Amino acid sequence: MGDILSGLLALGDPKLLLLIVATTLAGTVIGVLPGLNATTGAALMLPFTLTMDPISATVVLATIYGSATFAGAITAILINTPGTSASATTCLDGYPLALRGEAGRALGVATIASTFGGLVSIGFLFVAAPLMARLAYDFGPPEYFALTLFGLSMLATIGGGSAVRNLIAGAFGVLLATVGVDLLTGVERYTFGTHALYDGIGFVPVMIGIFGIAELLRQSTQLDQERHLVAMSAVKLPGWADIRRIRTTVLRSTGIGTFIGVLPAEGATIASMISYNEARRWSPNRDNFGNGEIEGIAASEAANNAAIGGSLVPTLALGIPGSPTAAIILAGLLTQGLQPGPMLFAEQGEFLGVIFAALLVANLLFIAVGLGGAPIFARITTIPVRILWPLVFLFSIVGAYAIRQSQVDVIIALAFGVIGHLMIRHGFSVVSLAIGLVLGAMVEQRLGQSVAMFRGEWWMLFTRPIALTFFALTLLALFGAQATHLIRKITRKEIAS
Amino acid sequence: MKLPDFWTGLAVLILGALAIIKAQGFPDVAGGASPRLFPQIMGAALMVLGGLVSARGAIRAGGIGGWEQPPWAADPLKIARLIYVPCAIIAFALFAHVLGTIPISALLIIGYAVLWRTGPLAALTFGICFSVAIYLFFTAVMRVPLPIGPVPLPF
Repeated sequence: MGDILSGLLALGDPKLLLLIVATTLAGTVIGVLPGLNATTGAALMLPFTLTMDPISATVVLATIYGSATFAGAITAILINTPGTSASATTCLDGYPLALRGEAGRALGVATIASTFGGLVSIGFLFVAAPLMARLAYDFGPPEYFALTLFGLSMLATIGGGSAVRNLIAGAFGVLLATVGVDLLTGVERYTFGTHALYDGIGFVPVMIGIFGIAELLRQSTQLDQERHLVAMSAVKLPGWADIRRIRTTVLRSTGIGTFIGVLPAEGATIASMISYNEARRWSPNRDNFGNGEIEGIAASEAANNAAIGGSLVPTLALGIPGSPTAAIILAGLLTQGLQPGPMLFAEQGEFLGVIFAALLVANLLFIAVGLGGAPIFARITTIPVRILWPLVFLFSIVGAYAIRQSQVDVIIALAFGVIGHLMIRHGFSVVSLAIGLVLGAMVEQRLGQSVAMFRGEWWMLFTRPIALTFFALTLLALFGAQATHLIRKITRKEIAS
Repeated sequence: MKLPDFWTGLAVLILGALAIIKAQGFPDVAGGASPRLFPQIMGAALMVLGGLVSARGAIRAGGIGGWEQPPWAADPLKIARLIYVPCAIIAFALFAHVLGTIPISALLIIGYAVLWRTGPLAALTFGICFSVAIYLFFTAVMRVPLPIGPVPLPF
């Protein structure tokens, strides 16, 4: 409670409050622009956070995450184009409602469901993160190694793409993390004599490259699209009849979203998809889903916003990103020299309180943005691409340069932009690459520490119960689906014979 | 341009093999995990997974498969836009210190805007306005120094 109070008191600082308002608005703009999403937005904002103190930097990234995710609903409802992939399911019912002249009602439902999901999940973050961090007090290098390995294994399930390709991207990210002077042995690896690579490949130029420049390259080959807004009257808060209709769905979806968010590497998109399906399964109005059912909007929006708080729990408590955007936040923390985990809460007492308070303010601002500003923000999507993309282009280059005032960082960002573009074209996940890069150094360092701790007898890793549990979970994440498939196949054969 | 899975997998396999070969040159250090260990594990993982993609691709396509030409590859404007991005970024890295951030940014934005079918006057306006705005944002708000170039700025 004291932390909440100190967090709320920190908001008395007009600079911090202004920062939250500004980043909420910036995040909303990012969220409504098709092509940009919370992850790209956070990646583009990374260079700016380097000149801030760690708490302000985390507040900026977390607020961008929340507001961009929320804002995706505005364009999903008004122009049938989700601003972010997490709002893809919002289109299914939001746009049909808008076509029927009920855009205001749809936006009102989305705003209330988003705010509720967001508020519950940040409450959960505030309670669960310190508890999870406390559990981690007993963790030594072997447990952390096993946990990080489990986090990496979850890459196999990211985004519904091919597990093998996701793992390749993750392994490539981990391999890139080995570039530079090895901290444990002092040996220089994969630097090819380049001084700029001695400290390793920086997170920030890579993130700008794979999310910002890769998107620029993709947009270069897209058709010039024109977007049309649906005519709408004022946005309305849902009436009691609507609230009664969506309340169970919102509660269920908030729970699902928070839970999915906590799982390593899973994020708002998966949360909204699962919640939408569950809402349809349980709803008495299931036949109306896809034709403008407000429960569908509520399910999708409550879940994708609830996933935010959930995903920050393992990120801050254990250093395992709960979503792609959380991986960028983790990269930001590490670049600031902060090590997530129990010591973060011990050494930076007010850290969680300020994050909590900032997200609280941001979620309350969503109501103002959703109810008052939606039509204005939706107009941003009608800005021609010929204005938008040159701006993103310049932002990416100058942002990459600004990190260390280094031309090498610009070239690294470009190289990863090209790599990211090729990866996306060939079905590899750039999110897996980012998470692999962020977790790579940790997993190697913890393995090295464990081996040193056991004096070279690495098999002792399997004598530690917590580590063993995470190893089992890793195997389950990697081979669970195949094993289930195999068992089903054998069972079917037996029944047939 | 999209490579068939056979070649994509093969590229990953070669990358893994190169990582392992290069790792052989890392010296061993007494009393700890070898600096070779992790790169070798990741290299081996890339080789196995790349081999899997390659083999699956060959089986599915009934051979190594052909190159896939995307629809935009027939549009010279889109190819020009695609090539412009890396060229402009290299130009920024090379000339930002020589010309200064605002002039080089303005030139690159003008080029970019023209490729996106913006009229010359509008492109010039965007170029100057965006470069000055972003320069001021970085230097005045974020306090990040950017190259000024040979001509002193009035602000």
